[in-house]
Amino acid sequence: MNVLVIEDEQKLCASIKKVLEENGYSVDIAYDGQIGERLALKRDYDVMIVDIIIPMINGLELCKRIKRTKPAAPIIMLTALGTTEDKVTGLEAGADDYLLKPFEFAELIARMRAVIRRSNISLNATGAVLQFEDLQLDAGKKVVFRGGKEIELTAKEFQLLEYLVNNPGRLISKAELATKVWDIRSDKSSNVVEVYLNILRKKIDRDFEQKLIHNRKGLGYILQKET
Amino acid sequence: MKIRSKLTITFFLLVVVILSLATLSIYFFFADYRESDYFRRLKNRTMNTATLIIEGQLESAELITRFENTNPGHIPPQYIFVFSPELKPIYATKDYPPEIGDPSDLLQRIQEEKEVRVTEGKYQIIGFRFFGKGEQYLVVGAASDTFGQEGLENLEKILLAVFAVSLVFVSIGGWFYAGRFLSPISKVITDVEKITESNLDVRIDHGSGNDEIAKLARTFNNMLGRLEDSFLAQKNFISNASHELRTPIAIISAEIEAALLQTEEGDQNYEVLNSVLENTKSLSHLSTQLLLLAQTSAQNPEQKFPVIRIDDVIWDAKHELEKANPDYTITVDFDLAMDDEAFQVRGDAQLLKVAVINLMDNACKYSDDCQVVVRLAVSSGSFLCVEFVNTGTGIHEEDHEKVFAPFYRGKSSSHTKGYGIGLSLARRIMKLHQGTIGLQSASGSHTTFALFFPTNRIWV
Repeated sequence: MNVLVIEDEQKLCASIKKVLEENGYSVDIAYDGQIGERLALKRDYDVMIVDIIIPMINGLELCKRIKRTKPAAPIIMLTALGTTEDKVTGLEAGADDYLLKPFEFAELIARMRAVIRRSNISLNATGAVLQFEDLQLDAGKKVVFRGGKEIELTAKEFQLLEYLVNNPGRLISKAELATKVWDIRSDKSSNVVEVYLNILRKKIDRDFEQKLIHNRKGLGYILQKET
Repeated sequence: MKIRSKLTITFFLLVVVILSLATLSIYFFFADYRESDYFRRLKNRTMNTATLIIEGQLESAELITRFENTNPGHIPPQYIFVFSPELKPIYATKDYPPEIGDPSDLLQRIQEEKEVRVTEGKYQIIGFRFFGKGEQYLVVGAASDTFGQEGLENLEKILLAVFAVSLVFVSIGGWFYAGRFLSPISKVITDVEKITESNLDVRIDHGSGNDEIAKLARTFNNMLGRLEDSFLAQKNFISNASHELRTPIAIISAEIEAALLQTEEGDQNYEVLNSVLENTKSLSHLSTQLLLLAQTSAQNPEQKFPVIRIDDVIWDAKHELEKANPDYTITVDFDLAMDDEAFQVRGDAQLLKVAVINLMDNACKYSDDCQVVVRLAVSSGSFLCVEFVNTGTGIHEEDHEKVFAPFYRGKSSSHTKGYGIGLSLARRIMKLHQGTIGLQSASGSHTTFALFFPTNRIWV
């Protein structure tokens, strides 16, 4: 794995290089935007870590320039600018993730892995589409279509639907859904599953003749064609 | 009281005082003049009649009196009493009214003062010494000034009417002109009211005048300029301080982590490095929270947030907090009536997550079992309510308001890590979202913190 770090704080660079190399990455370092841009465009990196306030070329501008030539290259902004506005400008400039200084290496490495995985998924996104009847789930892009119409779901709603579509025609208990989707292990009765299934049924089934998600009172839920 | 009412009332009272002084002096001067004039005329008449009586022409005197009595425009000595030098009555009008009293009572005073003037009821009485036939007689005349009294009453009515009418005009005119003179101030007030943190660049129209109000407007404008500068300076300071603080902390923590990689567990340095890393983490956490606190106070409370799902925020917060603290148990429970629209609030997901994490973290930290129950419900009215319930030591009644003050740490928190920023930050964040934060606690058993978000939906 090749990583490019564009950061003007030399001490920080040294530590990042040391830790990342320890974790099996090979690290290139640029102390200013100009060298950073040259390296980014010349070589292929699995992920780039870019600070915003750096000499020569500003990190945001640099990010835009890299994305123009290499739109798929994952970029993580690593910066001390912490307001929501800063974060939004960073993401709008094309960054895939935004990590605030000070950071922990465990977090940085986890995020690096996540953006690398995402870029791999989006490269071979075609294989990740699940289908049930006229319902389509794109697990990579996290989008859902029913009858060609896009349905907006939140992350949890998507996870729930994904689990149902992966287990079609099987009666799934409330407890199982609670464990698998929400990681709830306590046996305390909670309305979470019911509330989300109601929301999901409203979004998926309400406007369609053919209902797909069914409630078996006291037993659980099942994804199937209406009989 | 408004200045307009104050001005009107002051003006009104001033005019009342001046007008009453003028009216009263007119009345009294006139009354005084009437009385002395009447006495003068009464004396003349009495002298004439007394001359006739003393000279023995009694019949002519009575004839004149009779004629004169039928003519109210003249001064009749309606009643006349003549006393001889030995103080014996030699003449008295018959049937005189009892108000006049006994004329002989006046004799002593006439002897001493030469002339006596007395008013009894509507009668004016005059007594004086009179020389006729070489001897000194004492004469008393009495009459009522019907004509003059009527004139006086008439004057009284006219004065009262003029007084009342003037007061009506004065109050209406005062109110009108006070409003007219104050209207530029009202305009300045409306203009200034429209200015909030978000449009500090707006200036008030001060016109081309040079009066006090134009000066006031210019003073406001100068103040707005200074405010704008200091707001900008504060904003810049926050982002600069943010950067300046974060960078060195980032370097320290990265260097320690790198150094830890080369240190064996059990090594003497390993413990030291770990403890420094722990403290750096809490320093980093503290600086983040402090900067957020400063940021949220500098943020405009009227800004429009996008619609987000509060349940997403809660799951995110739960995930993050449980990852950082594996011993925490965060249970989420929903009111069965919730649907996707009920979860919608206008907000900044990042900030709300900070508030939710702080409340979850507090609830676990101060509980007996590191557990918190997060309950979402729609409360009566149009509020979405998020409750954080734990069982633990609880919070003393007297601390309920204080826990929201920055850096305040209650009695029960002395054994727990923290700086006392979390709750004040949560409160600021809620204020920014037009929401509120509440607390209910039974000391020694449990505590519930609740967040209330306004929603557009009315729940019944």
